[in-house]
Amino acid sequence: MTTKPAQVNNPSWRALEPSLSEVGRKYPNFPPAVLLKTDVQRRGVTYSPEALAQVDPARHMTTIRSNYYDSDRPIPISLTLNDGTSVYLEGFLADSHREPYLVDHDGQNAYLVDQGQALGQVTYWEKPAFYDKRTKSGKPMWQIVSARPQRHTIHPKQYCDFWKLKGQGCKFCAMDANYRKNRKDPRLSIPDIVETIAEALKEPGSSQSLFLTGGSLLTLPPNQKSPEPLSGALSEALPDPLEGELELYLGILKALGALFKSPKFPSQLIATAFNGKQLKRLYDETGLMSYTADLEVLNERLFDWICPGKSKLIGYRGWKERLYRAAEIFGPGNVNTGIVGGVELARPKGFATEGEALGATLAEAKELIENGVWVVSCVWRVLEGSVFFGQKTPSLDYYAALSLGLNKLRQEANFSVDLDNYRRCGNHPDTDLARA
Amino acid sequence: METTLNREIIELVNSPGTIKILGTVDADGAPRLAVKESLRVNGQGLLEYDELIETSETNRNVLRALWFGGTVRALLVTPGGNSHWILARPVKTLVSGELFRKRYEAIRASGRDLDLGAVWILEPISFFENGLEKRRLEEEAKHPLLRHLDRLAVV
Repeated sequence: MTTKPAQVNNPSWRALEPSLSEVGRKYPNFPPAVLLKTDVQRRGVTYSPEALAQVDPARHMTTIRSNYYDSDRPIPISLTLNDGTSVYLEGFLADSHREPYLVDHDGQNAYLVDQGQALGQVTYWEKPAFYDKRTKSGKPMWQIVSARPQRHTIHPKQYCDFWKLKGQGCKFCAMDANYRKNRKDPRLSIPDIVETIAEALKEPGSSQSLFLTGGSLLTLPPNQKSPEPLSGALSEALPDPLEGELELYLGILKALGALFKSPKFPSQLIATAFNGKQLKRLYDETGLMSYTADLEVLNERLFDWICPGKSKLIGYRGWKERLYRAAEIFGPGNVNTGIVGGVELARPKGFATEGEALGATLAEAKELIENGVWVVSCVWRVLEGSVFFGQKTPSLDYYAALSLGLNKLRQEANFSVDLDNYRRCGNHPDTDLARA
Repeated sequence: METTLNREIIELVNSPGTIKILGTVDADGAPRLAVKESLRVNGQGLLEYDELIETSETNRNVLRALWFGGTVRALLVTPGGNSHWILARPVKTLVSGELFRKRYEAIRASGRDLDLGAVWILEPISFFENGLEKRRLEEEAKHPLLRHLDRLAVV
């Protein structure tokens, strides 16, 4: 088996943007390993036959079931650089605008290679023991909980209800396509989740955090399929449309709480933006210690365009207000909001230049952090099945400047990134910078 | 100076009676010293230690050394007061996986309620005996002019 790079649209793409080494020289204090990780996430990877021959599914993590990606092929789910930096890939191979990095193996070690030059030694993520076990209901545990270097991830709801409403899904998101492609159960059962986490906790030192996220769960009128009734339905007729999502997470977190001797346990929930009353219940009734509701893009006009369902349901300003309320409840530093770094430059309505996008994003991030909510960024990977599939992501220079800017804002505000640090999610170059 | 640790220094590093201090520098160049009881030589002749405090200044400094090509220095002091140092380069940190787990289990089995932030692997660059008697003899051999006359006087 080999993996092949996707066809690159423009063979001269390297001449159109600064290279890894050029960006490194421009930002001499940017850790080279984190810059490499950023570029690998931007460009993707392919594997040499020698690298794939070293993959041992009995030892390495090669299976995953998540909202965005499902695989049981013998390809590493992700890589770790020598400094402990995760290069989170979920098997992502390449986009169509730039050549991917090559993962090669010399018989002793694996390396990330570009144009024949080895740029960083990597290891394949190791598989926890519970991956090979099944729940009492017969489900493979790896389909219930996935592992990152120090986090156990649960995706209780594998489908987003915004996609049930025509045109209301977020345009960068491939959750709907992934769900349809893999024909999986839309929901995980709470007993399966608790049983799997209990098994995972038997492996000492394997996790510092439990993490829950899933697609939005909306309580909507029967047969609602068009976008127009959404706003009306949300403002009348029904009880709060997020009550079902709240109850889902309350149920899971309460059940998981029985596994711990302390009332609170290191944990993170990424959910739709709940109102104050709902957030208070989450905090008071469960062991949850941190909360995230992703704005995805820090601009109201672009939020309305890129995240139409979220916009109609809560709105950009309403979303921010709910985040600020969450920070009051969970405490400063324990609430953040994720952005898909670079999506603010999506065509045709995104910012015209990288400079304009960077300035606007950091200004908005400053306002958020002044209200107790810090911003965490991931690298926009243009996913097959998303509305934005085929778009071109920004330059490496842009991502370096964005990471430095977000990290500086947090440092100035003295905010910890513990809830989303380098070995929990591992998908955020900007929080990697907080390590030193 | 030698670049491969010899048997004597390996035994010294691995002896529980040796006091082991790791020296690093912060981003502003200020030195930082920390006792690292767990410093040891592994089967590949590399130094290893367990970082028990994930956000410690030492952990940050060692990481910065790895990122930007810097070095750290281990000072070893024997129960008899003799001392050696090892100059080393951080080459890898383990934050999960099999070796991390083994070290975590060993730390938990010690009975102390400790956690593990990382296992660091350092490549020795050089080492040197730094004991007073050895250094005094070297100093007098290399710099015979640098001594007080009264030490030589017969009056």
